[in-house]
Amino acid sequence: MIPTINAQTPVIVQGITGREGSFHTHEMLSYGTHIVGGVTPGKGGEWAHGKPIFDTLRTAIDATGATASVIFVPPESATDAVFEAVDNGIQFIVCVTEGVPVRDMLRLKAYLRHREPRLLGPNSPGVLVPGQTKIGIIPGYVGTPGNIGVVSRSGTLMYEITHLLSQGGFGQSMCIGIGGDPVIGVNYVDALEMFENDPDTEKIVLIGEIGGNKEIKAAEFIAGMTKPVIAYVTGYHAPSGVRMGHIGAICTDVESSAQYKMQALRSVGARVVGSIDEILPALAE
Amino acid sequence: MKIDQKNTLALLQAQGFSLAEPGNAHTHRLYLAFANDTDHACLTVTAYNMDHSKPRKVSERVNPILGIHNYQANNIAGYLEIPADRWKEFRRFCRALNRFYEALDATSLEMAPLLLDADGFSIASAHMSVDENALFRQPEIVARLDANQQDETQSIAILHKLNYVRLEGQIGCMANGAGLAMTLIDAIAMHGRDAGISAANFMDIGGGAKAERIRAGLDLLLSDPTIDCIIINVFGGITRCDELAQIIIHHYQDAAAIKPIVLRLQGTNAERAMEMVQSADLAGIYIADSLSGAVRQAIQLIREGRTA
Repeated sequence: MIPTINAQTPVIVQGITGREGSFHTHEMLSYGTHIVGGVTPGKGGEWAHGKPIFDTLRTAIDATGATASVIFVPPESATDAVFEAVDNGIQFIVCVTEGVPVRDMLRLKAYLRHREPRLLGPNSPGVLVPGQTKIGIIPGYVGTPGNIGVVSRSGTLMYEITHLLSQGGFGQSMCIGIGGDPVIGVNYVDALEMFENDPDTEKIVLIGEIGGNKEIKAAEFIAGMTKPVIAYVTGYHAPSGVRMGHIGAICTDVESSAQYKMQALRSVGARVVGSIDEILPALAE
Repeated sequence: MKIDQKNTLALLQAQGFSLAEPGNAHTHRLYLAFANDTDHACLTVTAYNMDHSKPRKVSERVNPILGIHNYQANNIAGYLEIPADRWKEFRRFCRALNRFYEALDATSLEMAPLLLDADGFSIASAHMSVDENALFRQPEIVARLDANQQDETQSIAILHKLNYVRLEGQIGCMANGAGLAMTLIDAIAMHGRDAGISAANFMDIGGGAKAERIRAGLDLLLSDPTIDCIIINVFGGITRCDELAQIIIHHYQDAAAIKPIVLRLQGTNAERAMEMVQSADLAGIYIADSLSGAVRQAIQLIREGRTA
């Protein structure tokens, strides 16, 4: 279960003093995110953007009561940061880091089985609750409050589509980026379940792409949903067998192609569109 | 990332595994493979006896924290019809293979065949794939990579960490993010179908791309003779739009033969970027305010170029 995320959620930034950590801490604070501190081993006692820095997550949580964290730590230490968050009781962890080795993620996932904390990512842009908070790197200006739930593997494509939704008068309850990697924490199904049970969400926009079977699993869940799902799957013209950018985006067989996924989603009643320009009209139906 | 047979065998041998000599006597020819199962977040070990025309295949799911259990190796041995007095050896071999797989960040490892004879297990043929994300901690593998296998364009792309795939069309593409880059290609295919226009390439410059990478990507597109027009779609995040505009302006001031370029920029310093482009007032640079707008404009420019 993804816990409630809102303007009151206290957030720690793991890796607050790095280039990305520092830039995005500033962006999150400007948006109104309730950041209560950061962790950089060796910089405990210093300050960043007006927030206290701690050497360890343990001391950070003891001092601030944080329940969520966002990780801007290089790939070689990213899963260590996640283990630290899990072992110290953080309930919602956003891992922005791209390039985390698969072996590390397999071990992490095996460890997370039957454990409470929800991990978003790695290689995730995080969540945006328009008008309330953003945990991660989603540009705040693309969103506006409303009742559409948005879930996506691709980050910048989610920004593009969310921006279109906002311009078209369809605000969002939450935008959640599950990230582009093959082995991840929160999946489409977890996000869909959250949206299905969320009184503030009326319709869902699901953004998929080639590679893997996450959209197929999503389709199985959508079959039992009551709320409408509009789906766009990118990579229709991607050549098969070729990796398109991030590690997860490769069409290795028929079932990981855009066409197959579109058909699977269509067959369970999702409204599948062939281009991003068709999303607004589909929502208006 | 695939590792060829020669290098796979060399890596195995370096870790103490026996390689089969040609013409080795053997009692068993076995298929044994390890692979990542990303859907179930575990390793899958698959095996069958290659001496049978219709062999029974066995599959075991291995916990990535615990590694292969002895009981799992025993189960496999049974299916492979390995004699009971060789099971201990097989368990040791499986555990060693599991350690090798982990140590090299392999994503798949296939031996076909693995031979068993009186002296033990020896590997006659093997292929593996390794995780590109882990190359930073695999100096041995990096040392064995043959960069000359790629063509020059791909080498430049790899050097600058540009995710680049050559396609067949006429519109050069640059975007920040794989999904956005793929959507650009799909949109071009849709709008350009009637005119026989499609994307020339996929290019994802990644998040927070610095000037050097953007410059390299732009050079790549400008120097491709099959490209008639370029679209750059950058949306949001840490990527500096004004730095991007600076690079483009610089190129379009100097370049003799330029291709029309359509810019769609949103995000950090995007407004400043647009101001810079407008005041530079250079021929060949066009501005769009949406992805499909950029695509339609690029297609129109090519059509105009064809009739000119």
